[in-house]
Amino acid sequence: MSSNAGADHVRQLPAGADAASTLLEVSGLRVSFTLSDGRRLTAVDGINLSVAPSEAVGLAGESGSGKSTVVGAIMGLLAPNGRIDAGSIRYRGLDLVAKGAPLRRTRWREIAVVFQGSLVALNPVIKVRDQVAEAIELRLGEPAEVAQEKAKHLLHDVGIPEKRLNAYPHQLSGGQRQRAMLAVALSCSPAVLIGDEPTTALDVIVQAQILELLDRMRQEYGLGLILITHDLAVIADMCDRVAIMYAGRIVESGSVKEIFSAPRHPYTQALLGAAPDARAGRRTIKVLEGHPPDLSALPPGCHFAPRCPLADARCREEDPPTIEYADRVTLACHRYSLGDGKPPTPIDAPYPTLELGKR
Amino acid sequence: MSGSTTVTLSTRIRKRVSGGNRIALLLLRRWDARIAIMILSLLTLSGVAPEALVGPLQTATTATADALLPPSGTHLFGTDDLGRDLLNLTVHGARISLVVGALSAAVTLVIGGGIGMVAGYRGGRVDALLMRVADTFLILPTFVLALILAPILRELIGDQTEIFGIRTTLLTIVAVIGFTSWSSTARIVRSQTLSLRERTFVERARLVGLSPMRIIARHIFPNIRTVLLANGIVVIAGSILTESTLSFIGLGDPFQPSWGTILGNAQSAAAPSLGAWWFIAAPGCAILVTVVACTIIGNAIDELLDRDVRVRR
Amino acid sequence: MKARRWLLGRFGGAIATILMVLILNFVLFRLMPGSPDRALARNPRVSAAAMEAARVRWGLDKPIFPDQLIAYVGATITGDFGYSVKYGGREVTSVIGEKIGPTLLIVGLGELIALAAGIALGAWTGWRRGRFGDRVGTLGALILYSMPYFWTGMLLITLFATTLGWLPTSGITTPGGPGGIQGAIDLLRHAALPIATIALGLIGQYAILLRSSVAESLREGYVLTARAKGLRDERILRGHILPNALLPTVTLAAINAGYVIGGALTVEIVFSWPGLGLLTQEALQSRDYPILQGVFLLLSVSVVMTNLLADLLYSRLDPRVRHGAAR
Repeated sequence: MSSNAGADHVRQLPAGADAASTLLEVSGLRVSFTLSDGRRLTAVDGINLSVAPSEAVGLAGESGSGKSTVVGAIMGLLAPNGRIDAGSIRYRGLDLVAKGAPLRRTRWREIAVVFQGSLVALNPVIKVRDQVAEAIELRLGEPAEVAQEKAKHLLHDVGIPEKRLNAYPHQLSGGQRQRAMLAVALSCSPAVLIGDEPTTALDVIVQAQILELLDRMRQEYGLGLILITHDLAVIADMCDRVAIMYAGRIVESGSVKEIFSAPRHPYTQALLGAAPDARAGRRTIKVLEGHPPDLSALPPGCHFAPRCPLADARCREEDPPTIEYADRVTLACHRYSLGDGKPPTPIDAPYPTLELGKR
Repeated sequence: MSGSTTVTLSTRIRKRVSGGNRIALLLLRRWDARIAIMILSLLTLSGVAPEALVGPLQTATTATADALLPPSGTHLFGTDDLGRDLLNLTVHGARISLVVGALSAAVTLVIGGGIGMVAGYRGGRVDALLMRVADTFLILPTFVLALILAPILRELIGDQTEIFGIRTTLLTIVAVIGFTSWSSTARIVRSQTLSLRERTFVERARLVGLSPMRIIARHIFPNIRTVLLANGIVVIAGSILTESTLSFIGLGDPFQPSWGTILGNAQSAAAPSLGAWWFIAAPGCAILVTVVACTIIGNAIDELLDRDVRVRR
Repeated sequence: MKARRWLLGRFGGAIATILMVLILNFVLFRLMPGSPDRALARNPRVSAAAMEAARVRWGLDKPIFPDQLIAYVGATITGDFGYSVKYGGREVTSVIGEKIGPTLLIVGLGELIALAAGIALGAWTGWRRGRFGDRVGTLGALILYSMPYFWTGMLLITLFATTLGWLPTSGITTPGGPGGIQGAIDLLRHAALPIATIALGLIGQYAILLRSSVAESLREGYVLTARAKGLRDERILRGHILPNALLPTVTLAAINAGYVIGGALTVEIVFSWPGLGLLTQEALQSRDYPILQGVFLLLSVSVVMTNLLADLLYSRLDPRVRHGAAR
């Protein structure tokens, strides 16, 4: 059972925060980077994202789509050559973008991250238990012995066996390290947990265990969960809502049920059709040709146009507006118009297909 | 410089110019390398034609001024304990220090490079043995070893030999430096050779049936040239430092004084206690400036090589 | 255990290297103009009988190879380094033992100061990588690194001893000076400049090495995690980066310990500091080959030993090496 957080932990909000507002709300976020030769690259171009307590939101997209930049922006950890150009990030109503925002206060205590690549994200010369206890001691102000005890409980909670409680990161298996990273992330009982590709590079069985653990923690702690991944199966398993990202923009978002059963944006359709689905008996896969664009040299119009089978002249000239329908479904594609406000019928994008098993 | 022009310029140059010149051109872009190259050119000039700059080397007999004069209009760097003009001595010293430094570096590179290539290419027992020997040499104390080798070599080479206008005593120093410094070069060359050995063109040469010596000379050596260059410059810097130390303790040649010898004279003349700072400053700054310049260039080449490797991948 | 086997291997390697040094020592000194017994013959204090006994003991009446070589190695291992010419037939071990103290004093203190200052400078510049402070600090370290030790010493004497008169110019104590606490202070005053010289010579290396370690660590994932945790910069540097970045620097310091003794020799000459350096110079001038041989051996062995120590130290400090991967 949960030890320190949840039950006896009375959440003290940072000054200015409003318990009644949305947990985390990102709107119109634009982030750009200055390259070494002076050019500007817009990594994130007008993103909207929100999370409520105990809700799991997925952010899906290929590598280079800008997903990790969103994490950097929310945590205030962009590289020195990065900058938030526009938009707002609000934690319970607190503006995190404005100058003098209590970023340090919200880091880890309100919003925490489980990074990709646990071997790299953990300090190799410090015991894992100490890395968990560090935040408890230094951010929550608990005395050292208390912090150590809590760390022990947390590690136990996430499933680290007794004999490995004093281990160094390299002494743990990949799955154990990821659990440890989760313990580190939960050490200050945050309200929001962001998982940046938390299960990549783990084998399927371990992946399932980690996801189950994440889900359990979400329920126990009432966490708002943001799952960032390129693996749609993970999102299908874990999330209530999903946003699909392409080249810095969210092209489609809505409930997982809606999006996965009736994908409308051509990119979403390609993503969903790109993997064979043994359970559904599907043996053909859609082939998405080309590769993600160079963000420093984007052509005008829809970012996806060069690869889209439904693209026409207008798509190549004008940016498609993001339309919001009922049930919080959003869509950014010229093919779909607002109509009566109800989510429209999906248009099937004619991708070339490949049938498996046939030569 | 805007992005696209840089790209076009370098690709054009790359196509036309060979490796070594390209490195020189790319080096010139960096401000610190530019200054370093200018300094070294000035020093080389002093080394090649000292007489043109300050006239013939002043000796105890030809010195006309008073001893230990501070810097003035007539004597820019002051005079030493025998009344010799220090500017004169320092400029002439450039030749000795630089030539001895370069020769020592050459010896080091030849021995170290040769042994490194053989060890890296042959591998196995030959490699292990050679590296064990290299390790032994690495730990030998340069200073004491020089003291021991000096009289031995003097007996071997004889007193009157001259190579490149450098007399025996200094040649001893060249030999000593080569003797003690080759091992680190050998290690670097060995690791480079090891990675080269696995490349396809070497495999092919082996299959064709070329002898190991041939392969090393034709295929391996051309590819380690740049590594040797970068390492070589650093070795030159180290050699200049070592040479100055050995000359300081008296192994140098009083008739061909290097910067270290001048400093040794200063020590014997109790210059520090007498406050004759000019006697100490001039040759010492010369050493400092030379070594810093070489190190900067060596590091710059290293960085260029790194970038090259990354681009090629 | 694998660790023990590795340790034995390193130890064996060290012994092998020392053996090679011994052989080299033997060969070199046999090649030197003036064989040992001739050197002894020049010493009026040694009687004919003792000389003959020494010749027999040294086996100089036997062929050089292998008898003399084995005899030499055997004698050295048992601690018989021969007799000094200059010091009236005293045992080399005793003479060296007497002179090694002052050398260790300035080398030891110099290393410690250089380590502390070098680490501080390295951390400071590494953290500010690329910015002005870094450039200045790195240039400073480079300059210090490129100054010959003896030159630094001479400059320090000229400035602090001669011009400012704060400290004595040479020697280890004031002749006929006070004992007790006053004597200790006198000793420290004399040791100050030599120690400073060695420290300045070493700071550059440590600063540059630590700087690159810190700069590298800054790019590691765990630094991002630490910042995401909301830890302060000072805490990240001290608690996360330094434990990683110190490893190579500490290893370098240990390795250096062996070499620095050699480098201190010129410093001793400049300051007339009565340690191994001055001893070596005198031995060269008076052709006291046994002493030179002894010093040579001592320096080589100390380098081998400190290298071994450095390896051991590293394996104990780096948990990845100490514990090895679990799976």
